Amino acid sequence: MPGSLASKPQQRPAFYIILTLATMAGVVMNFMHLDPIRALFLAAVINGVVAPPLLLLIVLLGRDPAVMKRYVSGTLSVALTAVATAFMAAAAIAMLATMFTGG
Amino acid sequence: MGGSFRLEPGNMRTKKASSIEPATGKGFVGFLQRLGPGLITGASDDDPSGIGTYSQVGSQFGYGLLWLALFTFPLMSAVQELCARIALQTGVGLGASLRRKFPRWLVGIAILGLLAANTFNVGADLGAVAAAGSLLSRGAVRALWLVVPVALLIILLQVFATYAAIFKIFKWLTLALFAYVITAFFAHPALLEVLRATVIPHIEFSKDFVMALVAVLGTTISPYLFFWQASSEVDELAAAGATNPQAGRHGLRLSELRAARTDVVIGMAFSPPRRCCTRTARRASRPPLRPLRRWPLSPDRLPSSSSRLASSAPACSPSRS
Repeated sequence: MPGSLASKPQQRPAFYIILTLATMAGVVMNFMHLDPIRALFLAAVINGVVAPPLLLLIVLLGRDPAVMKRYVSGTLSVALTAVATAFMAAAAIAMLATMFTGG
Repeated sequence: MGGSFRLEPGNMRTKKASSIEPATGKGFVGFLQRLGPGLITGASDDDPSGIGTYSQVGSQFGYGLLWLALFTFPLMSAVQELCARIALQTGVGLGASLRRKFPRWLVGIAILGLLAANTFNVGADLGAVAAAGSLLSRGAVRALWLVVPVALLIILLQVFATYAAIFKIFKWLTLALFAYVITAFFAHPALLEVLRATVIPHIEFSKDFVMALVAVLGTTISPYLFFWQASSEVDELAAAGATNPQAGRHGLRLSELRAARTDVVIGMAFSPPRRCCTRTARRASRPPLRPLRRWPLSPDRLPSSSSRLASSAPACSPSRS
């Protein structure tokens, strides 16, 4: 059970250290006078920017017969996950473009 | 006192099963017992960041982005199903699966992005839970005082509680999410307008709209959900004794895949309707940032963040890191 809540802290110290450090960083963030409501929204925006590249890797992995054997993604799965990736990427790129051009 | 009290075999209650124990019930009860990682993942999609985002988008654009709830449902279901399928096939988490195909540096960059996004998400969610706690204390306890205790509680739970215990808590907490459905009814939305906005897409070409679009997509189809889904599937397999941690797992039984699919789609179905409800409630309670009437508090007695949370209805949903 690598790196999951089902593992024991003694077995996976790195996982639990990262978990604890990230939570502590989250605590520190709250003492930096960031508006909590704004932070909730910004967290969503950051997730929206990080997701498309990850999705691309995941979709490619799902299509790889060497890894997925018989359970390689079918047409429907590829179509839907590719649309998700493309749509999110387009939105994120459009947003970054408006940020940098100031439009 | 003549008759002895006997339990008929048919009336015997079997031990309540969590989803990581074999489901013993028949019919609807058994169906509920079998719901597992997908349900929890769908529920954790409604974290404070999600709720906060939907309510802000609602107050800014009204029902303007409601169509995304319908549009993203098949997309997010497909994405989560893919993550579940990869995990069930490989028997390891998503990060380890990605390492089987892609170079270390590429996966490393992706994981760093995930770590940054999650850390920020944890911070924002902690702040929201603390603000909601402050609200429950009627403003007597300041939100900032609650941040450290809440964080400690979550860390201790994650480090010391068993997976089964955490899982059980999460599964029960999904019930809390029905509060959004109830809130939507209290908000008296214009049903026809809601229906129209759900079915007909609406796009504006402005900086704020594009940012709102990214936020709604990002909080709906979030990286942490991909990894959470995959790890939960692996945990479930391990609990069922199906994995060999050394060799990893090879092969996936069709029944497992079917069960995972049902679970994923039900879990995801849990997400958008509630999202509609939140946004609907939010929109209907305009003018912006006015607390719902049923909240027994005067907003001016509260720290600003808390009163704004009050206006977006219950903010406590099961949050994880």
